[in-house]
Amino acid sequence: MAAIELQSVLKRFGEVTALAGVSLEIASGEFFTLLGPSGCGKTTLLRTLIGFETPNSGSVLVGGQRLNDVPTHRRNMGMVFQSYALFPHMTVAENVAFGLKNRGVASGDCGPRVERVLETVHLGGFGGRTPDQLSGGQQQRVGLARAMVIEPQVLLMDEPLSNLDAKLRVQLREEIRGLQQASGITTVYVTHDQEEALAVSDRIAVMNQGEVQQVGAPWEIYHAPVNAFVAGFVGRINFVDGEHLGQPERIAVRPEDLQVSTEAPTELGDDLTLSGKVVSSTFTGPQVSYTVDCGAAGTLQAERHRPGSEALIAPGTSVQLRLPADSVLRFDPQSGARASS
Amino acid sequence: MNRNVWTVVTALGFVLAALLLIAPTLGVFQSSFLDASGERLSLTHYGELFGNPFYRGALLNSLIVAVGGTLGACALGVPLALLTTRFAIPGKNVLKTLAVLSLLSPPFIGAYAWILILGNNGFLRHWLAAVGVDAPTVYGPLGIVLVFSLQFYPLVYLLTASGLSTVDRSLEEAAECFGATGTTRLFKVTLPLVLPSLSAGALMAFMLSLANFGTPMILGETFRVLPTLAYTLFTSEVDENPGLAATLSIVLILISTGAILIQRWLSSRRKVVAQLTRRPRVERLEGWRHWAATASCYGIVGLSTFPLVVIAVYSFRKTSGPVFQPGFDLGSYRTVFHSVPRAIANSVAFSFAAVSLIVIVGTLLGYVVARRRTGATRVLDPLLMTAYVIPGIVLGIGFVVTFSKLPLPLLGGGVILVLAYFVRRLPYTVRSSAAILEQVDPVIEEAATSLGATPARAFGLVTLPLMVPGVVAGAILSWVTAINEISASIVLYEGHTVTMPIAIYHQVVDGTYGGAAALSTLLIVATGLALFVVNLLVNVDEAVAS
Repeated sequence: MAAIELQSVLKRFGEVTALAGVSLEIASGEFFTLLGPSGCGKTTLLRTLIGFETPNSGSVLVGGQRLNDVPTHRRNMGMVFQSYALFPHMTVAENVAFGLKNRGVASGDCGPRVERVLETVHLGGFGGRTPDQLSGGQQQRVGLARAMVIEPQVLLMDEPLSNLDAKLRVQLREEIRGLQQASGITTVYVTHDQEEALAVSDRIAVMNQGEVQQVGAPWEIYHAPVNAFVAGFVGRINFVDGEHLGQPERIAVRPEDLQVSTEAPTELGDDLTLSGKVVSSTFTGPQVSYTVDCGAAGTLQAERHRPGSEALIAPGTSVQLRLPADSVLRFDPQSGARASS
Repeated sequence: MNRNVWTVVTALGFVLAALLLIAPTLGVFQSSFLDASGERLSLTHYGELFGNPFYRGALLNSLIVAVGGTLGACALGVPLALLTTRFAIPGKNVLKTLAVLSLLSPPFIGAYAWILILGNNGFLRHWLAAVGVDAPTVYGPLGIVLVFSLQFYPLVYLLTASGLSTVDRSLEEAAECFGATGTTRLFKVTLPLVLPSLSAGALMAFMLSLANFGTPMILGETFRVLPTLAYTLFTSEVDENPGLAATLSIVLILISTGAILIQRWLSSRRKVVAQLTRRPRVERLEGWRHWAATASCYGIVGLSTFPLVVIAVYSFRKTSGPVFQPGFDLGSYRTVFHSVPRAIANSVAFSFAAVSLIVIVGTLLGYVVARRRTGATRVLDPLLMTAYVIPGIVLGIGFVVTFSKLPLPLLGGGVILVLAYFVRRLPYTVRSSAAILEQVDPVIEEAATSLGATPARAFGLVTLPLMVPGVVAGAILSWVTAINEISASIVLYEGHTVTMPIAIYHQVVDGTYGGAAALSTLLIVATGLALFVVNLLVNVDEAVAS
């Protein structure tokens, strides 16, 4: 049975529709990510799950129980916040013990549990400090420990890594994934960072304008996007407008699939080609990226990995771009929906 | 706490505003439009006010002393702000604390001290007379303006200084690049940049000068201003004219409101976006310039603190009846504890009662204003702030007019005084606790409920503890203003509800200067101790300016 089930959840703020009838099922023990640009409704969905927002219509079910009218403090969920939201007047240990105290856990039992969970987030011995004595990464570890110590039915995370620097983000997201795997807590994770979503999730729901565009495993989302929005939001992609059998169509191909060559291509098969001129080429070590002006077809990005010295093509050089048939995605230019290829 | 609780709190806020602010103001407004019989609508009193040269003169006098006090406060406050923020002056905190002490000292103690200094029998006049100089006395408009300037300049100083400390240094440097240096830069760039905060300080000085009752009552003699005249017309048995008193009150409110609108307009024309990338530099002056700057700062603050010292010294002087004798003893203290113990007990009781109410109601309303933004709470905040434009004496008159019609035995009791102190200071506490809350991330409260805390528990365990230092600081400042309050009290008190400021006022009027000095010293010491405690809790100038 699904651990979480959303049935046509609608949420309006005045004139603005934040959630336009969202339906989702999240399996028990799953690491599920809501991914989308800011304002897409992902945070509203998370806040509806925990009860900070009440939906205008539709149902929120957790473990088969309808939660719409259950206040936040009686939903057994833990939440990790973007701004950490630690209690500044309490020590780390008091922060972590807060949820246990609310649940009537005897203070004798709190101590060992708090210390244990702090160990798991690598903060053993930090219990006596106050939040302002910790770095951002350490504060978010406390936030995580505080949410996990209550052994919630569901763990919710609202952009937990956005306030941290890039290197720490990568490190902490792996720790979060590891902790989730070890504990098996059903987790709903909100982020606008597609790379982060791909890295940590079992499944991803891509959202835009209050609607779920696609739900799928990371590989599926990346390689089989259902529409142009998903294709464009997750990873980088080149769109080229053209015609197919007399119908206008929009094709798309990812930079790493484009093959750049200074020579005319041979044995085309079903592959497409475009000719253009290199505007710039940027060498970053493991790869070189090109910006190629293809005239009416637009400006395309291409990448070549592990480039040899022959791959450093000077700007102004005329090149041929090859779009391998198996990597080309076709979309309806009006609706943006994926066309069968 | 659940939503219904906050709805009840909001409703309570409206009831309080309606009962303690709107009804009294409307009551005064209505009385001002009734004829002498008090039954028919008429413009008689307005005709009287603008037709009779005596009343017209009082209106003019009020404007003169209010504008004079404001200009004086700016003349002292702006240079002090410039010197202390731009140059290294030793003991800045001492300067700030003394300035705040003179601001918060009882409003007419300065006036009374200046009588001891430059009154008919003032010691400075005696000394000057001994060397053949006939010094002017402190009575009349100039004396009043002097006392206002020395009492209210700290408002201009504190607000301008906080404005100056957020002016980006690059702007002044840019001005210098275009050839504006020295005084040109000061008047064309620096002061216009701090105009919003400078004018806010000036506005407060103007409103307090306009509404001040004690100082013109003690120093005015035949020079009458609107608050003293309204008081006489309302309470005197011989020429009682409550309708005209109400008319004067309405004019006072209109002038205050007009001043606020002018200040808003002035500061909205110059919206300075404070992007503080580079803090202003504090320069070290060399040689005589350093000493001159330091001496000017201590001169200004010293002059405003001087009256308080004079009072304290006189409180220990020997007296025989109303006359001071050579030598020192504790006679004046013995006398006041013996003769007016009730005033002391009342002042303590009323001020603590008012502050308890202010803390409870102000914190709850501050929470509602900051965290439950609805149409109703958005109206509530400015509605409570109207207390700010109602002079104490007008509020007192309004209370009498309104509560005499209600079947409540409020008039004549201590409760009415407590309510007056409560409603006059409530908006500041609402504002300050709302301001504290705005610095507390609302997500923290959500975090608490997500961890299983009921909304009531989340408020009590998380939000409230974070509000406490600010609320306590605000409460102590409210207590200071409550225990020193005179202008509403003087209309509302009766024999058994007399307070220390009223006792001092009577003793000054009767010429019992020793007792007045002893009581005043007690108030000054209480004020000083309170400020000391506030200083331990928060940044005092921020608390005063809020």
